[in-house]
Amino acid sequence: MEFAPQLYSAALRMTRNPADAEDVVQETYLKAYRAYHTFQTGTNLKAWLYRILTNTYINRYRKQVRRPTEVDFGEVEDLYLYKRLGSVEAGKASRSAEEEVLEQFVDADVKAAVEELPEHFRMPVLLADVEGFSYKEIAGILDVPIGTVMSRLHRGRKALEKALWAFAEQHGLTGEQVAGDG
Amino acid sequence: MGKQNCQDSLAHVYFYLDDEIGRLRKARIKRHLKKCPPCMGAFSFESRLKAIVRERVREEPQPEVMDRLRAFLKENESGFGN
Repeated sequence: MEFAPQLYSAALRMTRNPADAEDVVQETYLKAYRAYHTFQTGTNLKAWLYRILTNTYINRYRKQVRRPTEVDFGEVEDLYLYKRLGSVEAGKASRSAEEEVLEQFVDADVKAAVEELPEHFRMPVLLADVEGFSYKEIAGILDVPIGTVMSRLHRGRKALEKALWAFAEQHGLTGEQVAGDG
Repeated sequence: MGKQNCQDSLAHVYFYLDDEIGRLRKARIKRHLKKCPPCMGAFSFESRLKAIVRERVREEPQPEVMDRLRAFLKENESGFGN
């Protein structure tokens, strides 16, 4: 049960719902115990468990998974958030001004931004940025080629930056309200 | 030449932060960042963003969740073994 808290946290971001997350983790452990004889000792137990978790989630929620609103994030530029925050703070010429804005994002903002990502972007972002898996491990977990992992991760992160920028604007973190005060 | 180094570095920012690039390229980018504050700023920002995502998204389960998981597995344990 060493990885159970982490698996639960990942399941929460996949299912976006505590009850479903709990079900997915329970089913994952049950399958893992039953399939344990197929696990090769010496290989990565954590990655093996995440693979079962991911498959369990996908099998259970496949119907909900395909969401009709498929936005193409391919056009989002690199360093989207940094560039926007940078242009806002340009007058201050402080190298860490953009990073200070980052610190103001609350948990709920970042969670919502991750949960809003379309499924095929959300999984690689979760596995890389939150769980710390390598590209090769993610390819194994999601059963896709490593090139697919890289491109989805790249586009997923840009989409995440775009969502965070929207929160920054909503919460007045972009500095615009300061300019409007005078 | 400087601009070329900037482009090359920024194109690899995620690979660099994910530690998914070769040693030589990593060293070359490192050298460039020391000399180029704008690129350093971008790398530092993306690195912090990655850390923020990890910190803010992790969620420890309530103790009851873990209790229920343990109980569930115990209940189904008879099915294990052979």
